[in-house]
Amino acid sequence: MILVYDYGIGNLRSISSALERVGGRVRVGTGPDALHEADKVVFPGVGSFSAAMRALSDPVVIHALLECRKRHVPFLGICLGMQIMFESSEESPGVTGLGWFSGTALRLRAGTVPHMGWSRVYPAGETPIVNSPTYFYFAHSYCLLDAPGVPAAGVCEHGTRFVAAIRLRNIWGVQFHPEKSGYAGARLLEEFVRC
Amino acid sequence: MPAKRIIPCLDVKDGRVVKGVSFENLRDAGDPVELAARYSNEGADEIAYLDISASVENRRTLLQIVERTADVIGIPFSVGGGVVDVKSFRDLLLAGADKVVINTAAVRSPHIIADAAAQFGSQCVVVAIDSRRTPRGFRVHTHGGTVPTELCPVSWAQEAVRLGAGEILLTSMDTDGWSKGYDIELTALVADSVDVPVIASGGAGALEHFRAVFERTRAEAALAASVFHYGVFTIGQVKRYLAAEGIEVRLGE
Repeated sequence: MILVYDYGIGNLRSISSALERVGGRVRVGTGPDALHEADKVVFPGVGSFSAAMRALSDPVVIHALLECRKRHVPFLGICLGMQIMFESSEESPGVTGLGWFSGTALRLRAGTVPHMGWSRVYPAGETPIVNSPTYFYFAHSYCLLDAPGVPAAGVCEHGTRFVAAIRLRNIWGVQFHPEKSGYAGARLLEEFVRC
Repeated sequence: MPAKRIIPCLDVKDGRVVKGVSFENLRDAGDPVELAARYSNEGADEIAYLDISASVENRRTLLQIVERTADVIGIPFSVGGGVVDVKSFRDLLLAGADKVVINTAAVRSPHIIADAAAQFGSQCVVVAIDSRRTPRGFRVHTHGGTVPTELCPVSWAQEAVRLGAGEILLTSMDTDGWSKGYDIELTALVADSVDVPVIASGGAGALEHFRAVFERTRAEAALAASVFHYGVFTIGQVKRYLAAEGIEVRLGE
């Protein structure tokens, strides 16, 4: 069962439906019990950094997340859901992220912000998220320029080069929205569902 | 820069697509979700719904369409029409819309833009601007284009972005419906004056109109309705044409 973690904000219908369309069994939930029962966890890309961390910073939730990681439960963080795996974000100064990886999400410096639309993701690292440059749908104002503690699995460019995807064993993060990226996104979600 | 986006717009009234539709192989050409799925499969980069229902009761019907769309469509979609306050935003976003388009209510109460952006993020706040030429220059019109205001579309777009709009949907009432091309002058003016994406709208009638708006303005997306609904050409044809002309579009699905 895939747990789509509910921060209590925004709509989780698109991501839940997208996972179900590729064969995932999905439950939308929150809290330590839901995490204990989860085979996989998705951090969706809705809301703000501070709102998401408000939902996750309860010590019992933090503990349950660590238990999941000990059990090698696969994680997929989407957009904001990837950024909270890092230490902090310019979006919410003073708010601490999960800190699984070192780094801070910064505001994009580009001609147009938000970065909205379809951009090519280029494969990177030893376990690239795609095999060849592939269009995915982005909608974000903040990004990781680099992620020193975790291998980039995909990079993208909008004004500047930024981390489009990370992958460290069973922890995946993507800055784009696979649930909104048509066929390419569905294929990626299918890979996660099957991993 | 991201790939240029092609966005078909569906006018929805009381839960049904209005305007003639000439597609074959659709069980029900009047069902917005089925048509949206069709466009998505043809390579649309995004779908826009414009609700033109008159009554509040039909809002529930619209929300059901939004929910069904979120269940079956794997690309972004925006919903506009009848968005009067922050609650309208919340209802549509919770039903599964990716973006909400606000027009008249934003002119009347600009703070709605700021409130919605603060609560839901700029990326889901699209401000639609309907512009028409007057003896004193371009002027914003509201209420479906029927009520002129003293606002200049350039300064209104800048103000909307300052308040938190993440995108501007710019319709030229001078070119809309004439199928003679997008309003290059207006689109260039507005797209040069804001740092969020601008969607050009109004006037598409031929393939070269898409090329012109992308080559001669900084618009990142082009919206069209009738050329797709009436089957003048398909979205795939537009994108293949643009790619052959050297304009970056997303192909190959």
